[in-house]
Amino acid sequence: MIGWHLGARVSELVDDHLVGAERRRALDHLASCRSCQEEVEQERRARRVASSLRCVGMPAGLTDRILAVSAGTAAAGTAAPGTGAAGAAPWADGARHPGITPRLALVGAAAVGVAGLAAVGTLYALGTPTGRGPEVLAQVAPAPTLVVGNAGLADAGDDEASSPASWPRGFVAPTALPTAASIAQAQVLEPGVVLVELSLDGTPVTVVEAHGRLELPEGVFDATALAGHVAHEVDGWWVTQLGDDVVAVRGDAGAVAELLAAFDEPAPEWSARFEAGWRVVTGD
Amino acid sequence: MPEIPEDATWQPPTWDEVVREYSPQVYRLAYRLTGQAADAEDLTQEVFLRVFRSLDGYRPGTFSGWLHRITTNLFLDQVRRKQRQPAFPLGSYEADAPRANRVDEPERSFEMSNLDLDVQAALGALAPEYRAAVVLRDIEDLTYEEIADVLGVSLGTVRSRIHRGRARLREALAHRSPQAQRAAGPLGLAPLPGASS
Repeated sequence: MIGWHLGARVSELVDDHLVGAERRRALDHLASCRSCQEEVEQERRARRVASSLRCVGMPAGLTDRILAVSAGTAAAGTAAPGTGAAGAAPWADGARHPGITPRLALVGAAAVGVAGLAAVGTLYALGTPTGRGPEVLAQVAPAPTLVVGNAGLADAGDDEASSPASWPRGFVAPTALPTAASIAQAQVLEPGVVLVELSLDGTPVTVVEAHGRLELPEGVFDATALAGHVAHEVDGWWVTQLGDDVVAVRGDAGAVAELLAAFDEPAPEWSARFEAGWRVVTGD
Repeated sequence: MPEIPEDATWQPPTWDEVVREYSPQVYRLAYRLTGQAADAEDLTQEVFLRVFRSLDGYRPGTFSGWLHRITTNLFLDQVRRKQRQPAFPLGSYEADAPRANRVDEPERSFEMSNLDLDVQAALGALAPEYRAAVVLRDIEDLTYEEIADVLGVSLGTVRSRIHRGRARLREALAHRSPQAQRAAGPLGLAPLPGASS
């Protein structure tokens, strides 16, 4: 056995993860190797010491805070445990709740400093982009510049700026722009995501569209019937599903409603997916 | 895919029940990985938000295993992000200090009476990847195969990380060894960690 020791196999031996011939070989060696005997003893002691940290007390109120955030209630945890909105299965709760912290809206989004990119972060956090690919870029005629992380906005050109025809192709578009509305700029932020800046009677409105499905947990965000669509207020943006795109609009409330009214796509029923996933989990 | 009972009276657990059942487990893992109550709480909340949003992406398996994977990987992602940002704001050293050095938190009395703070400090001094392997094995009691799955590494890597992690724990806690305790004498005056003998 000279020149051979258990090495890292000591851990497996101590954890009872060695089996069969490998275990027998290790035990044979151990019987005659004082060095490995000491290693095994020290490894056992280290494991015992680490295992002593199993007991951890939960901070008071953390569970309620988690429930409060997921239910969209105030962070103070006002929902009584097991009752009301926080106690119901998420899809079964049709009640509307107050807004939620921006943190939830932007979880997972990169730090952003530009309005459009912030919206992209929101959309990523809320939706599942599908069907994106390089071909999407080619379909977006008025937005020739691919800019991510750049504060500059591409110029869509002035020739058709007041017509819906200048809306980026391949994305859900209003059937007709409201009177006195014009597209100031449009830009592809990345494949499958477009930003459009408009002016409605002098009021700026920003629209970000991303291919994908809106996957908001039901009951977390305020849902409001807005211009014939079910929109959710998320971090200052009105977010809704229009056709195959998640659409986020920001601006003066009246202007937002006026613009959304120009879209005639029906809002789809998205809670079915959430419910299906929930049943997979809870059926475990 | 797990069977969903056909019994019409069967009701799936509520989200409330899921959070109450699993949040202690997630918090414990988060706390042992981060070593701080505030970070552990943030991580726990983020895990449940991630779970809440990702339910339709859940694939059959153990729910516990899914939580372990999300918690550990969120932690490792955060550590890596932090490592890419070398400029720390003032005060970050204190915030990142091992828990044994914190004295201003409400859970302090619980910690003092229930845990060996120097063990947590030694755990916190391990490289995050070693710490994760040791915590998942010795505190969460996962098998090597489960740890390999959670971390996305080979069994050999798991074995090596556990072994090295424990070896470093031993070094950091040499003052607690029986030899050191005997050398400390009847008053128990053990030498300080890291002190040369």
